[in-house]
Amino acid sequence: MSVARTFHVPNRLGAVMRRPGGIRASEAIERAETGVEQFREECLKTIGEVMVELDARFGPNAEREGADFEALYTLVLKLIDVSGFVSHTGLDRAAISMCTLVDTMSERGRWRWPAVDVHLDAMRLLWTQGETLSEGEREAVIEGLYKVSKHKPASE
Amino acid sequence: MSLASALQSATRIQLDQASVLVLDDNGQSLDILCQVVYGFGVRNVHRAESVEQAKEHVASQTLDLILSDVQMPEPDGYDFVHWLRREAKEPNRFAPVILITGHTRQSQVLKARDSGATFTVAKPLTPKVLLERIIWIAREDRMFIECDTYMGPDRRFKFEGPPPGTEGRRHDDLPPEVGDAFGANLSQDEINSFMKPAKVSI
Repeated sequence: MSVARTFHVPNRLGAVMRRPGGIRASEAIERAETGVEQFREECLKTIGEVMVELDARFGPNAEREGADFEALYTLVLKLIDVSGFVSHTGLDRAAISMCTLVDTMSERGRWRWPAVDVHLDAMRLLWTQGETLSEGEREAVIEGLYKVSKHKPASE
Repeated sequence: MSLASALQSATRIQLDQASVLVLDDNGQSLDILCQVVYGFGVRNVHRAESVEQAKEHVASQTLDLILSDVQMPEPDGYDFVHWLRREAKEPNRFAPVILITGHTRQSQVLKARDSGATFTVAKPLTPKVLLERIIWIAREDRMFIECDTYMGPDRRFKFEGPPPGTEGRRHDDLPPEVGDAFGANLSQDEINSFMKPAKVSI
């Protein structure tokens, strides 16, 4: 077993933040939220483009032979990166479930296309109608996706 | 201190003198993250779209906080923190790092645990969650650990003693079982004296 050295490090951030002045935390959050609003339209456009690309490259009508796990994973991560503006729809959590699914499939080296289709359908639903669903409906969709993405087929 | 108690509406934050590095290879995500940090009052924000750029900032600036995305083409955010903790010069080597991840792969869990980051938070990130973590870091007093396999803040947040049935590895670990009291109980006056420190002349 290696020998561990334990030591104290000055908390520079703490020292900076203890200086007099500053703003209230609530004001800081409000300013940050207001500031990021300028990116809303651009991010929604990106999400729309990713949704189209997901369907085109990995949807039921896509050429699935030789599909690349990494390409799907990276594409969904791109959506998650900017999904703060749609977290009320549940799309962000559906995308995270898709990442879990892709990671699991990649580990086993085998696609589960019905599970991918379910995720794509649910993501499309949440993207287009997530806002209008009741909280219970939205949660039911996401819970269902979690079950699918974490499901281990009996044959494996 | 819990994360929930770190952030109260009356809490004041003073970050205008802080120097913060933000690393994300996705330009949109980087813009959002930087804007959040500006909103917190930070004026000195260093942007990096790759680990290479981030290393240049680490070499030329003194940083008080680093925010880094995880998923990037190799080297990724974990590799960056690993490099920072072992190869960067002081004081940046010990700078607090908040890693931000969209998803953690099963195969990356151990790498994440051993990266040496101060915190890992999930995307999509809200300003409230980020500020909670920043305030927590500013108030914390975690020791640093350095050994063959790890360099970073002590990963044990809670001091609840070693797991049941084990003796613990720290020299000051106490057994989980509470032993019988020994000696007489304190009197009320003795207890009161703890609450009311008296002035003494030396």
